[in-house]
Amino acid sequence: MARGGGERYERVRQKADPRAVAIQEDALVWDMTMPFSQFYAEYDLTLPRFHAAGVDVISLTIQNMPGADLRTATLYIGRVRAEIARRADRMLLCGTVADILAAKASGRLALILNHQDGSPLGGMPEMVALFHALGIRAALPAYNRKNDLADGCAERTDEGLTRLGRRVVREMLRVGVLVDGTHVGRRSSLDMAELCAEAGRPFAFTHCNAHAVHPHYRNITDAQIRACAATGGAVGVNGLGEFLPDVAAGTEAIFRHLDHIAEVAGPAHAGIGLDYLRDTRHFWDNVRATAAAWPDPPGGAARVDTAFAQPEQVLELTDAMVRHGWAEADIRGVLGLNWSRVAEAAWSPRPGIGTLGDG
Amino acid sequence: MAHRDDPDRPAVAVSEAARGLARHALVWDNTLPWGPGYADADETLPRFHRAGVDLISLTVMGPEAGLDGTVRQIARVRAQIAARSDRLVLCGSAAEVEAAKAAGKLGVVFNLQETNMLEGSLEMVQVYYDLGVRHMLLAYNARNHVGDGCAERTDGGLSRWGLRVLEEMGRVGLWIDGTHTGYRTTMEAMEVVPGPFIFSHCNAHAVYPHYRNIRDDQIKACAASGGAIGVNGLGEFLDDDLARSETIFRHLDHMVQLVGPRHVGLGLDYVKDAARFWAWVRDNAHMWPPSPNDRTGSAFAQPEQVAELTELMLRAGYADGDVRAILGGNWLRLAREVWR
Repeated sequence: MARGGGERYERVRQKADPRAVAIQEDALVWDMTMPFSQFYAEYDLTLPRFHAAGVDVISLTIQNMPGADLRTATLYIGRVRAEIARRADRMLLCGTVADILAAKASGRLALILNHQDGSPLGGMPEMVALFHALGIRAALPAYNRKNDLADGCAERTDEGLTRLGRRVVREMLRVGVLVDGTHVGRRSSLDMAELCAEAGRPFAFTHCNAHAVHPHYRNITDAQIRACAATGGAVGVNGLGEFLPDVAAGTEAIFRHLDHIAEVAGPAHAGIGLDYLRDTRHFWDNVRATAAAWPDPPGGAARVDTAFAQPEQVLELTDAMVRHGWAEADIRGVLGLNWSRVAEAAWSPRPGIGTLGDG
Repeated sequence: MAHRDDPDRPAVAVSEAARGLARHALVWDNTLPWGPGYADADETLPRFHRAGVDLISLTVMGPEAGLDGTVRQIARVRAQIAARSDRLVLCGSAAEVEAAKAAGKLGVVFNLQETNMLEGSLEMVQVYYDLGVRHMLLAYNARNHVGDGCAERTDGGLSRWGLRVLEEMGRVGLWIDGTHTGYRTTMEAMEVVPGPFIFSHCNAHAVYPHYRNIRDDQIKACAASGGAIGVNGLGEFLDDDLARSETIFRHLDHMVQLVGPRHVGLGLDYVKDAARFWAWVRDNAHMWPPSPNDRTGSAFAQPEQVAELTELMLRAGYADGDVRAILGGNWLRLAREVWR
């Protein structure tokens, strides 16, 4: 592969087991979540750094926090598409796994787009297909809070999907958008898993850690992990210090969650959803400013501004899997092949599945 | 062929030759209003298809909505088409238009009659294109951020923003449409746009001096750019309450005599619910000042008049190849040249 790596990557590489380096530098490496709203989009800094650290595919969350409306989301997707198109020598907006493999083969970073929260739909299930046409390949209905589609994971209540939420999820399954339970409340997420199972499509938690390892409301229970795995889906392990919990967001803490998910569901149902952003100050200020979406973390202690896992830690994670004796095939699965399997199954066009019914 | 929506209009007797030509040629109608309230997919579209039309350009939004309303309507119409994929297909290229005809389906493309729905974002040109929009007109009767409309008090040229919009439209590769736009704005646009420029649905000012009709020098500049003008079927612009085929032909023939048959096509602008349209016109007097002969409430040409127009072209001695070009070949050529 030899992409130059950069200093930080070289330091990690020196310390890593050569088997880990060999696997990662050959594998398809896929990070299922990167915040990429206007506050975090860094086309010429963060994206090249991930590419140099060996990441081949990144799913960009192109949404303003808090939830953007239809107009704002459309204007912004236009901006993102234009920025990516201007860098066509280095990156490619992908719509299929074939596009992704072609991007990797040509030495370019493969990008897909996702929405976190259903607010861009403006209450219209028809908008699912429209955003799909513009590149959205994964979406979650509710970000921490209750909305017109679902309950969020930080909400006072824990209700199932609304009628509109069911229509939207069914439309995602028809059109071929990966259904994501991250940030969603337990019952709503289990409703989503059920709809996915009915349609024979995989369900995902693109960037979630294990509640059994740390009981944060943003982490998912073993029942959720199993429901996801039962559809053929996967859980992307998350690198945010608060959810681990580890103020430094160290790799060992991330590995504990990964190991738990693999133990509960099998390594074929684990992946990476790092959730890296550079401007952590902006993130934590925003968290403090939106207390309804981000109630205090468990334990009663005051919130601290934890670190976010860095792209070079993907290699450390590979190294941890190698040192813990994971089989190479399982490691390659976690690094990217599980997401590529899930994506193939979630994105294939299936115009026959349902129509816009009553939910 | 009479239709229940047809006004009391004497029909032109259509020969077998004309009927056969209209059936076999690729027939392209470059304007059908399709905003909220007009998008009647199960009656109007099958009727156009039965009348021999193979490709129709749906105006998914005019001056009545901004970005939010436009994107919502595009989402609705895309869902409407997807739910009828056995009969309808959204086309993005000339090859897809030809494939739609070969498959016996009615092909559609989208157009926007305004530029306000860009809402200040040049990047939205590409977004609309990627969603199926293949032409956009610069201003609808009134002035906007790009330039003046054809019914405006003033006749100024393009704004600085308008120049950037034209440049971006050229880069993206959609047809730049001068319909409803003011005279100077279109003349300046045709100077700065390097490729073909179109008027998707306009009649000839020399035949009837309505502000919505275009002057001979606009027609000539359009032809010189390599573009084409779609003849329009609104009684008000024809100066004919009944929107008769003979009257449409007078406008069509004027343009053909002026610039030749390679620069003329169809842009009928049919509206089923004419009362709804005229009520909207009355409610928007700033866009629709009084016209010379005040034909408010006049009829719209019906889809079946495509065969009558074919008949009239043949009677006037037009060559088969020229008739085919006017029926759709010219728009197809321009699609091949401009869309990417």
